[in-house]
Parts: sequence; structure tokens; C-alpha cells
Amino acid sequence: MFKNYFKVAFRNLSRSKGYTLITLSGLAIGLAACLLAFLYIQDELSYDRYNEKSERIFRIATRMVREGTEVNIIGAGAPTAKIMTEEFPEVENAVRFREEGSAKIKVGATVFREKKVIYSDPSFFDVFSVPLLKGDRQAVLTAPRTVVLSQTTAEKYFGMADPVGKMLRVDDKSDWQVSGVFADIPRTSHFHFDLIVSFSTLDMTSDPSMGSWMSFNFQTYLLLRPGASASDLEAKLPLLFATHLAPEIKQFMGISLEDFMTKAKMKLDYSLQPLAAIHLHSNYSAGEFEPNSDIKYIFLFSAVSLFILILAIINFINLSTARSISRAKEVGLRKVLGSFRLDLVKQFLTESLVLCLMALAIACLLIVMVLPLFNSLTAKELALGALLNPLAVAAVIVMTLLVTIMAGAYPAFLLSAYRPASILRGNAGSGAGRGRLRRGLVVFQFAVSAVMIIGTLVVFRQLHYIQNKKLGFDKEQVLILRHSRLLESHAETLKQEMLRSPQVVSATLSSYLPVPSARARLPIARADNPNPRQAFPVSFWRIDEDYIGTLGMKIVAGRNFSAQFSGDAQSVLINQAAVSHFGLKKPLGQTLIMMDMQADNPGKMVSVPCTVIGVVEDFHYESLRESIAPLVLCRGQSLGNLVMRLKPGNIAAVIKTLKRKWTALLPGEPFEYAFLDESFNKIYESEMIIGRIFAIFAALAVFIGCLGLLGLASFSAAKRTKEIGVRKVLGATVREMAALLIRDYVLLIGLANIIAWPIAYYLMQRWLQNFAYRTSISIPIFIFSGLLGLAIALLTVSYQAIRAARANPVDSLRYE
Amino acid sequence: MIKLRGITKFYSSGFVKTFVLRNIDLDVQEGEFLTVMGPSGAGKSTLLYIIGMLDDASEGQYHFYDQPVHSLNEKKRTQIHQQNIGFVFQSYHLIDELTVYENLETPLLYKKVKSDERKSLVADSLDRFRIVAKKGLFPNQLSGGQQQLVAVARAVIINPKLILADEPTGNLNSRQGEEIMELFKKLNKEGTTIIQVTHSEKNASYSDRVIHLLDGWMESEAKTGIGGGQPQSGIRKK
Ligand SMILES: Nc1ncnc2c1ncn2[C@@H]1O[C@H](COP(=O)(O)OP(=O)(O)O)[C@@H](O)[C@H]1O
Ligand SMILES: [Mg+2]
Repeated sequence: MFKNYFKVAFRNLSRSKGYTLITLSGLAIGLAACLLAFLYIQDELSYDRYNEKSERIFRIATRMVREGTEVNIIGAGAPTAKIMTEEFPEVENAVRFREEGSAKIKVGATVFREKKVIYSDPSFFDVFSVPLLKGDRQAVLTAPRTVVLSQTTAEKYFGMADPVGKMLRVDDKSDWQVSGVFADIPRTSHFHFDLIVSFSTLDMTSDPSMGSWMSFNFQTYLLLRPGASASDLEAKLPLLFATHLAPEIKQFMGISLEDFMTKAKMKLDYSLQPLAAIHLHSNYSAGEFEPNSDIKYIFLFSAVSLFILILAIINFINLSTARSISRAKEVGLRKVLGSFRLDLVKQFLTESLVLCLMALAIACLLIVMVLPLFNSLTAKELALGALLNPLAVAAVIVMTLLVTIMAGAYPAFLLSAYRPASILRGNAGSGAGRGRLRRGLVVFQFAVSAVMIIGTLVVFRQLHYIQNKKLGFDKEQVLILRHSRLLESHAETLKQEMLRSPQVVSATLSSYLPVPSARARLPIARADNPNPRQAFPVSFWRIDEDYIGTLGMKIVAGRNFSAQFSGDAQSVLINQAAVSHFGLKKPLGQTLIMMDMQADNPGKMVSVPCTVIGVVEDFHYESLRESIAPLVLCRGQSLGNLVMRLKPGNIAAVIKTLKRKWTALLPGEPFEYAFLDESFNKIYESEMIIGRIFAIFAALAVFIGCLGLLGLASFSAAKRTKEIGVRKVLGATVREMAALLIRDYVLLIGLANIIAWPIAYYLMQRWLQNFAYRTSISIPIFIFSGLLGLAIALLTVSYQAIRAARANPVDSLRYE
Repeated sequence: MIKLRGITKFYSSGFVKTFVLRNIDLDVQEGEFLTVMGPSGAGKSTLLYIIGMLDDASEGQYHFYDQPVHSLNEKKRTQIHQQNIGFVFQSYHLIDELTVYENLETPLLYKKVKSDERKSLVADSLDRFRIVAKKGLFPNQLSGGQQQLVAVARAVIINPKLILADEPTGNLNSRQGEEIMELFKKLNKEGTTIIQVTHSEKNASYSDRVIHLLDGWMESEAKTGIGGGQPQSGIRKK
């Protein structure tokens, strides 16, 4: 029987090629979108699952609530790991990390700049399932100044030679011995390290935070015993502070932990974060190894791709019901020949299945074609092969069957309900009710398309807004030389030399750039604050007198730092946000107290009074998602970057000169530069990706909607051939006739837009809430999206309408 | 075999009821060859469809053997009709998407006849109707006479107890028509009950009995012998 169904299905599909092409391409696109979403989501959900013990691994996060402001830091005090393993039976093992930042590694004569250098405990290899390829598992990472390399790094340094035992020269001051090689950490991990240095190396330094509970700088992961409950453990954590943090507070500040907390209006606690939740559910302000993804994108992507598939299914339903009349005779006859209704339902579902399977095959081809592009867009390495696992195969089968049923069921039940007696007399009935359903579905399709078009427009408008927002500084034409700190005293020389170039307008040396990065904060208070130690930490930068001018910031009151004023060492500039933060009526001349670490004894805090000499207009130094926070600028040297403002012109030449001078000063040292506007744009990379995904999917939605319209228009034109013939005989012109055919669609698309507008407004308004600084959703966006939808749809139907309207009436009447 | 009592069929559109069949009582015995005659629109096809269980009567009772068709559900009715009834129409009504062979095979598929048996039945049928050469062709590649031949072959392939033929020769020339009628006569001789609708007196003459429909009323019942005899006008039944 099914052989027969398949045969008929193929004959029908190949007979009505236009219909097949339209439904097939729509379904293929819809399925491809869903498969792509599936691949993407499967990949996102697989993060950190390479760890065999991932269910038992938790990361400690520190939450500080101070005067209503919550600061979340990924990290814990250095002793936490060891103490917790000893004191809590639930904890089987623990591992700490301390970021080194970048390091200059010399192997023989070759210099490498490594960015992924980390300190960690030997337990790293027990907690995480990263295989140690070479080296002694028991000994590795125990001795000070030993390091294990990733496989790629080892090959980069030593080629095929065995790296174990080799020495690395680090930052020209110390030597590390390679004690092992680990397999590269999988891409789907929330951290990637190239060099792991033994934690004991840090113990050798005099870093005061090493023994302190008060500095939360150590990313700490706990491996719980099988069956241990993380929430039970979490409940016991306050105890940890009481027994270990309290004595330390007492020693340094002379007060009890409770007093400290109440006086500082501060709450402090640890929480546990499951390893598998980090990639999608972690948005902490500080301490992440790498930027994480967000579960929101998963929802967005699945919703959008599902909508595309639904639009394609609607095409199928619409076209197959519109076409049903041509199948009616067959249905009637099959019933006469003894077919049960169920047989017919099965037959039509088989046809729908045949179409879906063909669409699935095409979808796979499409995916193979677009994956490289998609991967570059999302910075992933997805492959179709990732669908070859039982879960994915099951999901694809279920999806195909679901689509088959969703698309096929309604037409199948509709068609199989035909009564043979009336069909065979030739009055199958056009079914006004079904026409209404079809119209409803078309309205739905175009409403979805309109929402997507508006979404795309709003995302791009916001991106445009960000790029053109007055930032309070000028991000164009600013060249940044990285690592100028390495030049030490030569940094100032290089700055002066570069200033001699006619293209360099001004230059400054500073570690602080107005783009998001890890920021130092210090407790800073007004002079009249009785307890400056407990003041709210405020961002604090050291700049020279050329900084404000070079970056194009504006002094709105007072003056900039100046080489002529020797007293400027005790002066500060503050931004407008700081003026209101400190509640200063007349900021100029006021004194602020900064709590700084003592240079020779970093464990001890000293208070430094400073005078406000100027106010800087607020500028955005964090992402526009956040509002501008108070900032205190003091005069001092920080050599991190050499920042140069250039005149438009031959910038390549400036870079060349800079590189030559750099190489002359630091032979063998890698030369790195950046442009400020590019660094700025990087902040909004995820929004760019959303924008592009939106645009692509909106285009697909419109395309599928138009395919459906094309089918319906040709169908209704064919059905109205006789009406058109009669009207033309009665003297109607081609234009009137075409207008008659088009009018319906204009009304439908108008209605679709009216439905779409409030929905799009609501959704995009919510998305814009992510930004402290945002564009408005204006009326022209709606009108533009409406006109766009209308224009595209009209182009689609006009061809059919005009063709039908121009047909010779005699032909059409004879045809009837 | 067939017992109709008070069969009435009407279509209602709005408040107006259009009667197509009014209070028809009819008995057909097994092995009978019955002709239904009457002007166009009299309700002949409707009656045939009701007997063939492709349409419901609005009122009345219909027994097929001892089965009360009027109170059976669609599935049960399809079962009876699938096992017992073959249809032939004026406009051939073959399935355009299927070849001659597949058209013949389809009723057997629905009857769930096994593959081997199905093949031999179709082969027999192709032989019997001398259309072996046409088995791979599609309906639109055949002449009208050939199509009707296939339609008849398809109707009889399930070896039905009852054949319903709605103006089977209407679109054929007289020689082709005669051929079909001879075929029916032969099937009837072999025991198949046949009910045909026709406008042709000549075709009616092949049958045992003629009834007339006029405006939905059953006009008469007449006994005719082979080879002719005018139908007698009967009493108009209430
Ligand atoms: N679906 C329907 N709705 C309304 N009237 C119908 C419908 N089908 C058939 N009729 C009417 O029933 C009458 C009988 O039709 P039919 O049985 O085909 O007549 P015959 O076969 O005798 O020419 C006709 O007048 C026709 O118009
Ligand atoms: Mg008729």
C-alpha cells in the first residue's frame, strides 16, 4: 500500500512542479534554520561537559552588597580551597587559579608573548578532565617555577622534541622549567590556558593576598563528593567567614566581622555556581576568564528559527488546501473504490512525509553550504557531523515527523472528508471558510515577517546610535601601542620622538583606556566622612597631563593637570558623575580622601588627601549598557599604552615608524597596536551578531512568506480566470483587473502590519532595556517595515495578477 | 438483497428544502438486472449513490442483506461497499495519476488482497478485457471506449455482488456501448446483481426490470423481457 502512496506522491509532486518547488524550498529553508539552531544550541549546551565530573564541580562566587550596590566577583580568598577541603566533608578536592595576564616567554632566542598564562594547583588535573600527555601526574605543578604547556604551545616552542625538562625565560627575570604537556583544552570550555604555572611559584613572591581571606582574587573550583548537596554546603559557608575572615578583620581593622559589616553597610557572602551553568548563566562583573554566552541568545535563536519553520509549514498548508480541488476527484474515486477515510489520511500524510524528507535532504545541503559563513559569524566550529549522535538523530526524526504531521494533517483531514457523491457530480465546493483560514495564515506569516523586519531595524538603529553617540571623547584616529610598559624609561623618549612626526597631534602614556577592562577601585570619600575606610570603592585612574587632550575629553570646570604646577601630585580631576556621587556643590578646591595601599607594606592602608582641581565632562568608559559611574583621575605615571592622536593621512607610515623604533628599543619583542574605535566596536560584538542573525532570518521570513503568496496568487488567478474573462468581455481594462486581484493582498498585509506593530514594539522595547543609553523606536521604523513588506509582496503578486489580467478572455471562457 | 423503505433525500439551503428523492420504496433481489430511467435531474444518480453507500439518505431505511445501512457508521459502510459493490460512471472516472494496471489494482489494495493474488487477479482481468497491451498507459492516453472498458474491469475485479452503473454508455458510440451492455449481461448471467441508469431504451432492454424516476418520485415498476417491450406506466406511488 505504502509503495502505492509513494508512487502517487512522486507523480503528484512532479506533475505540479511550481507547487512542489514553493513548498519544498520553504520547508528546506525552515528545516535548515532549525537544524542550524539545533547545532548551535547543542554546542552551547555542551560547554564544560567534557569534564567527566562536571556535575560535581562548582565555582565560588563572592557577592558584596554595599549601600544597595551589588558587586559579584568570581573569586575567593586564597586559603579558601585548602581550608574547605580540610573542613568540609562534602568537598573532595579543590583547585585555585590566579591570572597572570600576559607574559613574555623566551625559548632560546625566540620570543613569544603569551596571553593565556595561569597559576594553578596540582589538583587541576584531578578536578578537570584535561589529560596530561607528558609528565608525572603526581609531581606536576608541585615544585615552584615549573610549568605545564598545552600541546599546541609545546609544539610551538619545541617542535617534535620532548619539552619536559626544558627551561623558559619569563619576562627576562625568572626561569620556569617545563614539567609536562596537557592536551589542548576543548573549544567548548569556559577557559583556555596555554601555560599552567605551579601555584607554589606565587608563594615565593611576597604577594600579601596569598594568605588573606580579604582579597577575592583567586578563582576557586570545588569538586564535591558524589552525592553531596551543593545547597547544603552553601548554607554552611557563612561559618567559613566567621572562623577565618573574622580574625583577619579583627587584626587589620580592629573590629569584629559583624561590626565591620554593619558599619560599612555591607553584606558579604560566597555562593556556589555549577560548572555547567557558567557558560550560559554567568554574568558577573569581574573575574571571568573569557566572555561567556547568554541563555537569552539560545531562546532568541530557537524562537526565530522555529518561526521560520512555522512560516514554511503555513505555506504547505495554504497551498495544499488551495490545491485540494484538483485532488478532490482522486479522493472521491478512491472512496468509490473502497478506501477508508484513514487510508486517505495516510496517503496524504505520506505525501507530506515525502516532501519533508526531500526538504530535509536539501536542508542538509544548505547547511553544509552556509556553515562556514555561520561559523565565522558566531565564532564557532560547528559541523553537520555533530548531528550524528543518538539524541540529535532522534530530534531530527521527531522534528521531521512533527513537521509532516503539522503540515499534512489539516490538508489530509480536509481532503479525506470530501463526500464522493458531490465530488463526482462536479461540485467539490470552493469553501469560503477555508479561504478565511488561508487569509488568516497569510496575515500571520506577514505579521511574523514584519516583527522580524522591525526587530532588525531596531537592532541596527541601536548599533548606529552607539557608534555615533557622543561618548565624551573622540574615538576616531587614535592609535594605541600596547605593552609600552616594557620600554620603562624609554617610553617617555618614544612618546617625544613620535610627537615629532607631523602626523601625531598629541600623545599620552596611560594604562587606562575608555573601553571596558578590569578596573582598580579604591575607597574614596569626602574629607568630612568620618570613616573613609568604609567608603564606596570608586574607579581610579592615573593619567598624565596629555591624557585629556589626546583623547578629546572636555574639562567643564577648573583646569587640567599641568607640568607647571608642581602641586598636581596631590590633585585630582573628577567626572560629573563623581561630583554628584560625592554630593559636591562646589567641587573645585574640595578635598577627597583616598584609601591606598602603602607602597612598602601592601597589607596596610593609608589615607591620602587630594584636592579637586577640575571636573571632566562625563565620558563613557564602560559599555553603553551601563550608566556612567563616578571616576577619579589622579596625576601619575602608568605606562601600559602609548596613545597617539593622529591627523588623517598616511597612517600606515606612522605605524611603520613606530614599529621600527619599537624594534630598535626592544629587539625580538612582539609589536602590537590597535585603534581605539576598533576596540570600542568589539564591546558590541554580541549585538552585531544579533543584528546579523536578525537580518538574515527576517530576510528568510519575508522570502518564505512571498513564496507562499506567489503560490496563492497564481492559484487564485487561475481560479478566477473565468471571472476575469467575463469582466474583460464587459470592458474592464488590464489595470482595473490587476488592481482587483492585488487589492486583497494589500488589505491582508496591512492587517498583518497592524498586528505586528505592538508586538514588535513591546519586544524591542524590552531588548533596549539592556542599554542604559538607547535609541527610541520611532514611527518611521514601523512605516518603513510596512512599506517594505507591502512592496515585496506586491512585486510577488503583481506578476501573476498582470499575467492573468492580460490573458485573452476568449481563451479563458473556452477553457471553462 | 436491497430493501429501501421511505428513502427521502433533500438539500437544504437556508429555509428552502430541495427534494431530490421522495419516499422511495424499492426491493432488489440477488441476481436481478434493474434499470433506472427518468429525465435529467430526476434523482437517478442520487439514488444510485445512496444504494452504493457513497451518500446518505435524509430519511428512510436501507437494508443491504440484513445490514441496516442507515444506522451504520462510515467505516462499517465502507467495509460493506468495499467487499460488495463495483461502480461504473458515465465519464469513466479513472484515477488520472495511475496507470491502467494501477487503477485495476487499487480496489484490491483497499480490500487488502495479498500481493500474489492481486497480481494474478489483475492479470486475469487484463486478459479478460483484452487490455494487456494498455496496462502501462495512463487514462489520458486511452480512447473513451477503452477508458470505460478499464472502468468496468476495475468495477468487477473485486468480484462484486452488485454493480452500479450510472449511464455507462453515455459517452460511447453505439458499438462500444453494445459491447459494454453485453458484458453486463454476461456478468448478470454469472450471478452479479446490476443496477444501471440509462436514457437508452435499447440498453434498458437488457435488464429484467425498469423503474422510472420523475422529480424524485418513483413512477413505475415494469417487467421487461430480453429484447424489448415498452415499460408500462405504473401507478404513481405516494
Ligand atoms: N449538493 C447538492 N445540492 C443541491 N442540490 C443538488 C445537489 N446535488 C444534486 N442536487 C440536485 O439533485 C437533483 C438530482 O440530481 P441527480 O441525482 O444527479 O439527477 P439525475 O442523475 O437524475 O440527472 C438535481 O436537480 C440536482 O440539482
Ligand atoms: Mg445523473
